[in-house]
Amino acid sequence: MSHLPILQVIIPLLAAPLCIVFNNRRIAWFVALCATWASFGVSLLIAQQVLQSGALSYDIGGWPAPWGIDYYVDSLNAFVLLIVTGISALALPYANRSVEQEIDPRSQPYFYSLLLVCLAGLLGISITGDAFNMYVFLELSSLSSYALIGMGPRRRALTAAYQYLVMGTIGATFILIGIGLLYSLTGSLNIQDISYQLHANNIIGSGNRTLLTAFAFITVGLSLKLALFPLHLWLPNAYTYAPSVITIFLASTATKVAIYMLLRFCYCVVGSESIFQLTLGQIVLLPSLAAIIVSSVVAIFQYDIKRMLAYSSIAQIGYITLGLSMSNHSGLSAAILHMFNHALMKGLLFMTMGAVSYSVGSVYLTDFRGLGRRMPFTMGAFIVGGLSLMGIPMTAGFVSKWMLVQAAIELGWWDVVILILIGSLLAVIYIWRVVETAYFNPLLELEEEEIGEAPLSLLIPMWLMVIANIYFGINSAIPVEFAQQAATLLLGGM
Amino acid sequence: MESVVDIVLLSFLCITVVAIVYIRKLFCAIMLLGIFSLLSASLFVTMDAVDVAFTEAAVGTGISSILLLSALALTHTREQRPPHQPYIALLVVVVTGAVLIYGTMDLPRFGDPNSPIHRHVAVRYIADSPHEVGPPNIVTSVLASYRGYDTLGETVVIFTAGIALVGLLGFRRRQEFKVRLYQPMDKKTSYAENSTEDGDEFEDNIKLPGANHMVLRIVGKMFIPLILLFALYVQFHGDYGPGGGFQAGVIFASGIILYALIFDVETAMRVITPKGLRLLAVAGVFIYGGVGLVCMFLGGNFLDYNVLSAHPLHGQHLGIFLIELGVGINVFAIMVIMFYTFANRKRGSV
Amino acid sequence: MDLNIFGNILDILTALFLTAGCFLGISGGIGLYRLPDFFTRQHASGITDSACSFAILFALMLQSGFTMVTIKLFFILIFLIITSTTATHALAKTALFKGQKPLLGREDNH
Repeated sequence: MSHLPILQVIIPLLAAPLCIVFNNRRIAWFVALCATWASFGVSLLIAQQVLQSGALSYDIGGWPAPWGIDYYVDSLNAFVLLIVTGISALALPYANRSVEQEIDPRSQPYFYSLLLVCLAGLLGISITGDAFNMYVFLELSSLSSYALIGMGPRRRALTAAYQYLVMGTIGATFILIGIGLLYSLTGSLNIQDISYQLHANNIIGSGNRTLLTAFAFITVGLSLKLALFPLHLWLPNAYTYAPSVITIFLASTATKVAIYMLLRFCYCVVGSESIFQLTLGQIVLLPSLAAIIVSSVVAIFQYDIKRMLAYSSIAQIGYITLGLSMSNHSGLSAAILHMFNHALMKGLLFMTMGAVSYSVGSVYLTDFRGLGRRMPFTMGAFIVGGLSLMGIPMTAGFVSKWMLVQAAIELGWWDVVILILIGSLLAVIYIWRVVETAYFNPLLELEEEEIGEAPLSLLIPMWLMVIANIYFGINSAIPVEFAQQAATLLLGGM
Repeated sequence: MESVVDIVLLSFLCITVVAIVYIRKLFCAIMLLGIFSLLSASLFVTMDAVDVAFTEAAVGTGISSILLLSALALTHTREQRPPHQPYIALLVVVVTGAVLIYGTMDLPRFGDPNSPIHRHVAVRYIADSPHEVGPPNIVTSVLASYRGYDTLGETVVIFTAGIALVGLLGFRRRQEFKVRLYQPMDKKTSYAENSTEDGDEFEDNIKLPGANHMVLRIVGKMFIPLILLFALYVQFHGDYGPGGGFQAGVIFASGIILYALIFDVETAMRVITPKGLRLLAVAGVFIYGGVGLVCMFLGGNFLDYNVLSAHPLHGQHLGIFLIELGVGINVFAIMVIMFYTFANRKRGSV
Repeated sequence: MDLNIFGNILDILTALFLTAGCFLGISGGIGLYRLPDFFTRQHASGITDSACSFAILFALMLQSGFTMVTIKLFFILIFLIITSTTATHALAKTALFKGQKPLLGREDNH
């Protein structure tokens, strides 16, 4: 099938309007479910083809690359596509009951439509080989995610969405300015072609100030989008107040796609040997370390567990960018692998949060008292997710953290190794607070009302995630293979 | 001479921006935003980017002012003082500006024929688009064919904006349409003195019952058909001159909105129902995406119009016609949906 | 020779109309800024605006000769004259009914 790359994006893109045709929430959910599963299937096929026969490319409109827009899939974006579609394929079955409870029934068709637009946007960013097309789909995914966050059940969701909107728009504008400057330097919008033109015209080595500015804007804009440490302020509120499904979806995919964009721009446009590479590593190193330590400490003091996990997300993004800043093969593959593993564990943890909020109504620390007995499956899943987050062997989180530590040792960065370990210990503390409350704090006698286990449609996707977390912790051959191929590809230029 | 025009326009632009930042009356800020758009549209004209200028004039000056005003009817018309001093924001803005200026230092000169933007992809667009794509307006060729997929993306962006608005605002309390009669003037004198302060005056303005405005109604009846006709002209003339689906949709929508303002929102809703608009918006995206899918089924790539007809140029022509139609329908429907959503909400229940 | 004189006359007329248009526009602006109340300001801007757009468009029509552009300019002119007078009317009427009192003289406490 030669049309696979375009199908990846247009299935959710065109299913989105279909959701609101009938104005019926069940039909809308069903359409969304079919679309996400179909695009998951497509991404599996793409991944298989990429592993077998190398990169795929597809000229949209039949126009060859620098003149038209092309889709270009190599092992890096095939991997990102798998993450995004995989998470959404699990989130959609979960969405049915959770959304039913959290969102006004008349808004639900619109909710699913926006969710599909967001998915299509993220996939479009990941798959395209054209810088401006990337921006268009970035706009799609951001616009829909602002609205989705604003649909959250609490009133403060609107404020959180507005905060995210302001920060996100600044980020997107910066990215657009950067792309515009690159266009004026090269006359091209195709990423491979920009890279070729920059090298062919000797712009890269000459210390061109416009190029430097373009990269400054792109890096800062993407750092806003991926919530790199000092620019993360929008994230905790957005994740806390969004509907449960949206938190699951965005936490596991949106920041990963932004990291992918950063990788693509920094490595594929400029190339690994040039001077910007080194400065990028140095620039990102300190914020990453700060993110790991500071956000983990802040997470310890949160009482809203969703917010605690949001801070933990910022710390985990720190691990990913730390791997990125090492700019060697093992560091990069650790970073790419951690993108995958973080999607798995944060998806799982936020799924448990959704289940708790479904049964109990809120996710404050005090609400967890006695939940170990009342919601055994949910809390069991929470423990697995927590172990994965800490990086205990036999879970997915361990593999990538181990690779990260190895990469740091390879470079002789012993202080970084110690900081990574401290970060893990801090994760132990904040996860333990929840576990302690759930299992060792007795239920108050006053609370007689029955709080039962979450329904099966929430538990099944959750436990599939648990299985994934454990399976990829024991047998990590496939993701490691992908990550290493992608790292080789990034370091070898195009 | 042209540089004089540029300098004058740019200095007006700067003054407008500073005024927008300073002013606390949101009504004035919106008017200034309209002026800002008009000035930038004029700047685009001096740069010979007439298509962009047209879009900016139609969207920035026209429809977005109306939409902002109708959103303003839901809130206060005066900006609150921010709780903290915005020095950090100022710092960020200054640093960004400085970096931007630094970045322009190694840019090729504006209009330099040897600069990369004129020597790489643009060459093929200019030389080959008449016999590869067809339309005399190269901008249309690039937007609708070479980079038609981006335009599909932008169409979905507009669609998303509309459904996001309906999803967030559409289903709360509806406004009951009570016809406000004009009060005799002496009774309202004291009110008028305050009205500039609390801005209540504005909310009444936008929901003017047209019954007493004989002149407005007659002129409206004269001009609304002409506006709609002009929108159709812009839609179908986009191949030859500036214009196309986006501008046409916006102009068509502003004709309908004008009708709703002069007569009544409720009457307009009976003519063009929200449900019909929803289906139109969906249809717009489907027409665009559908053309792409049909191209795939006929053996080409997605959005490869060449296969639509026996002769590639005819195929291109047909494809561009259809997708522009899809864009126009979608933009029209979404703009009117946005206006309805704002107009339907009771004040203060956000 | 004849044609040249005709052209010169056209140019002179154009210049005259353009100057008149600019003058009217600027005086309308000054009036809008200086006059004391809503209705007088409306008066200043309304009248000068219509006249100014007429003068400038007429000057442009003189320059463009018998072409499509002139016809388009003519339509713009009709459109402007009708809409701007309507807008002035609607504004003034609304203001009046909303209780804006015209300023009548010194004794009228303002």
